[in-house]
Amino acid sequence: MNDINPFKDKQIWLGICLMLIVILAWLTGILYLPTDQHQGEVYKIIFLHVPSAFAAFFSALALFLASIIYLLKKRSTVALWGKASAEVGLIFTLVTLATGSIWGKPTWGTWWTWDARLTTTFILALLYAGYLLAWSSISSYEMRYRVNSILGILIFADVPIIYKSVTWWRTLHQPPTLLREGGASMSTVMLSHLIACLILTLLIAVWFIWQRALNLILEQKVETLTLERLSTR
Amino acid sequence: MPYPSSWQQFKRIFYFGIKSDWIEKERGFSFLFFSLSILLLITMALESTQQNYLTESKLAVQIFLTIFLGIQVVLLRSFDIEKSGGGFSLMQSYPLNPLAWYFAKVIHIWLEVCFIFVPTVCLAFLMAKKGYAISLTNMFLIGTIISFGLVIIGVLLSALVLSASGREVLFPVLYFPLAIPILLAGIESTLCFADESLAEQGWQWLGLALGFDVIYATLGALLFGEIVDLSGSD
Repeated sequence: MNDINPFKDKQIWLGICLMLIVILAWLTGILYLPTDQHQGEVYKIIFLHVPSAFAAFFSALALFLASIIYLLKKRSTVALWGKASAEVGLIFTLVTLATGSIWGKPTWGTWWTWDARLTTTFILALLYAGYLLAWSSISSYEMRYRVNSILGILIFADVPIIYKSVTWWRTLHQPPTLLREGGASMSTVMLSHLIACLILTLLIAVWFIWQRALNLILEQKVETLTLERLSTR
Repeated sequence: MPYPSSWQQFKRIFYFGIKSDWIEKERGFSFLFFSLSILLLITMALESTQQNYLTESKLAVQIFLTIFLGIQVVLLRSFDIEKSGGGFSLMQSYPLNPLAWYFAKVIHIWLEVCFIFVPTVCLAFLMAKKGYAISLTNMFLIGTIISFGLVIIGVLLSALVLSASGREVLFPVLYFPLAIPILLAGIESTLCFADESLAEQGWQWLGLALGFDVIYATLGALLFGEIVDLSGSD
C-alpha cells in the first residue's frame, strides 16, 4: 500500500489493463479486419495514426482548460496538470507524425512532404516543445505557471487550423475520415473498429495525463519540502 | 492630482517609445539594414536557381521572409526601453491600464515594422526583371494586414519570454508556429491576386488573415495584463 497515494496500485493496474486492451484492439485490426480495395494492408496503420492525432488534439484541449483555470484560480496544481497535458500531447503528436510518415511512404512514395496537414501537425509538435522549453527556462514558479498558461491558450488556437487545413488548402493528405459531409468514407466494420481504437486511445491519454500530473505534484511537494529544510538549517 | 486616462497613458507610452528608439539613430536604422541584407540574399538565391518558379511565388518569398526575419529583430528588443533603468518596476507600481500599454506598444512596433516592409515591397518590385501581375496597392494592403498580425502576436510573445533564460532561442521557437497561419494567408492571397480569376479567393485569404489579427488582438488584450504583472520582477 502506498502511503502517499493509497490508490496508486489500483491506478497502475487500470493503466496496464487499458494498455492491454488497446494493444489487443490494434492486433485485432491488423490480423482480422478486411483489406482496403485501394491501399491493401497498409491502411491498417489508421487504427494507430488517427487515434493518436485525436489524442494530441485532446491533450491541447486539456492544456487549454488547465491554463484557463490556472489564470482564474491561481492554483499551482492546475498548472502542473497543464504541463502533464503538454508532455502527453507532444508524445502523441510525434506518434502521429511517425505513423503518418510510415503510411505515406507506400501510398505517396515519400516519407515526408510539406503538405498542409503534415506541416501544421509538425507546427503543433513545435508548439508543445516550445511550451516545455519555456517551462524549464523560467526560474520563478509563479512566473513559469503564468507564462505557460498563456502559452497553453495560444497553442489551442492552432488545433482548429490543423484540423481544417485539409479542407482549406489543396493538399496531398486525404480529407477527414470521420467528421466529414455525407458521413464517414469507410465501411461499417472498419469504422466501428476505428471508433473503438479512438475511444481506447483517448482513455490511455487521460490516464497518462493523470499519472504524470500526480508525479509532477509529488515532485513539487518534494522540492518545497527540500527548500524548507535547507532554509531552516 | 487625478491619474491620466487610458487614452493619455496610451499616447504617453507611444510617444515615449518612439522618442527613445530614435535617440540613437543607428538603433532605428539597424533593423532596416538587416532586412535589406536579407532581401538581397534571398533575391540572389532565387535568381540563381535553375527552376522556373512562378514570378509571384518569388515575390511572396522575398517579401514575407524578409519581413518575418526583420520583425524578429525588432520584437526581441521591443521591451528594452522598459527594462533598462528599472522602468518596468516603475510601470508596475503605477495604476497603468495594461490595454493602453499593450496597444501603444503594438502601434509603436508596427510603425517600426513599416520601415521594414515598405522599402522591402518597393525594392522587390524594382528588382523584378519583368513586372508582376499583382498591383503594388494590393501588395501594400496584404503587407499591412500581415505585418499587423505578426506584430500583435509578436509583442505578446516578446513580453512573455522577457524573464526566460535563453529567450533569443525560445522566442523564435514559439513565434514561428503562431505566425504561420498569418504568413500562409499572406502568401496565398499574393498568389491569388496575381491571377484575376482567383481574386475572390484572394479576398477570402485576406479575410482569414484579418480574422487571425482580431483573434490575436483579443487574446493579447485579455492576457497582456497577466504577463506584465510579474514580468519586471527579475
